[in-house]
Amino acid sequence: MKRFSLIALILGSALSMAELWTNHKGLTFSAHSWQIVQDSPKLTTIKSKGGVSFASVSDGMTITADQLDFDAIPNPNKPKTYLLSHAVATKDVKIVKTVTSPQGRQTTEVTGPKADYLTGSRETVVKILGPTTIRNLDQGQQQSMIATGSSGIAYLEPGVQVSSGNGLRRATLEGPVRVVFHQAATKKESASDITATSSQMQLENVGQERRITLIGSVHVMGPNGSETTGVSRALMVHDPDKGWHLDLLGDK
Amino acid sequence: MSFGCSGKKAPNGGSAHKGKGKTEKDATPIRIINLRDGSVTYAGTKGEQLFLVRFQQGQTSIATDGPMGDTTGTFHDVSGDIYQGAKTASTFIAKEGQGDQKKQILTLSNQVRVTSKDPPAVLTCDRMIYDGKRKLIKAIGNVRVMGTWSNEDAIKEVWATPNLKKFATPDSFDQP
Repeated sequence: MKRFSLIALILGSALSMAELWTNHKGLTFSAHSWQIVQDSPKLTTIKSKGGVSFASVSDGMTITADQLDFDAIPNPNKPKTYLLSHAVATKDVKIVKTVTSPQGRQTTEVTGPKADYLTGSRETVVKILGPTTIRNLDQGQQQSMIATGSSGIAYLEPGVQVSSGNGLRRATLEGPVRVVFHQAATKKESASDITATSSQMQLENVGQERRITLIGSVHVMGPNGSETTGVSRALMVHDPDKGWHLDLLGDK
Repeated sequence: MSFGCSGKKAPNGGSAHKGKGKTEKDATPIRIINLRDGSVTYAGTKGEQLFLVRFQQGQTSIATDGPMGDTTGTFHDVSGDIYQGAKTASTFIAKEGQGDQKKQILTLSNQVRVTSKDPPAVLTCDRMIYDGKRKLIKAIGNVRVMGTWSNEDAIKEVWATPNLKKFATPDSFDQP
């Protein structure tokens, strides 16, 4: 009986094998079911579902989801290859974007039940509908951030290289929001953890500086057991040379 | 329904046969014509061209007292065109081919290669069935697509439009 079950399992997995497609190594995707429509030389529309795995080499980005519908357009900088223009990912969505800067490698991971991904000329906008998690790992600054909310928007750097700053340019999370920062010990900074909760969070990475605005029912637990609560608005700023700084802004 | 056929008559010529499985009274006489180096054009109900088959060797069978639409052909070393409207949507080559005028179906097998110009793409497979009524290509066995999008490993079955602008797994193909 077990032998038959094993054979059935092997047959089942062989039958449902995902098929891998590539666009001259520019974009690749694999899925159990798919439809590719080349509407014109300037646009390919693809619908894929079932264990979808997508990668864009020029964007240093991967998407995994149960279903992914996307538009691809020609890459003006690399003949024959395409760029991701717009995508809608559904169910168990995970978008991972990796960039390198002179300071090191940064990885941003956005997860949620549904995501709308739109590539602009200056930045990429990822809207998450439903419970959202944004993870950002900055190897250069040896810092990590995990933020959760009921929905969110992440603004990502285009391309795979940034001159300074972070692959995650900006982000907005709607509450209840919880954000945890972990700073590993470096030559400039000692190890620290900061946990904050609020009704809304706005994050902005400007150069090497990280600015987080917490709005509504702000609660911050800083290093060495310090605690700030009962504030309606606060600004947390991290500078690699100065460390963390908290400004209590009150009602605006 | 229209049907056009041209080619050299093979040395053994043609012969009339009785329809298989039918009684002497209601049997439909079938005329079989052996052909060499010819071409057959298959057309739809409104006379529009569906596909053209060129062949090295072929055999067509025509129901002599039936409509000209009851024509089937078996061909070797084939090439040809699949039409969409007045334009050639794609061209093909294969070792074997069969055309069925009544069903408006072209079946190709053995080293099948379908080529489109816009978008530039090549589809290869073991067997291809083109349904002229549905304007649908069913590529079966070791299917590979090479073009703007290419598959890394051979696929069991792919459905496509005759111009190869759209291709999909059978369960995902949106029929217009």
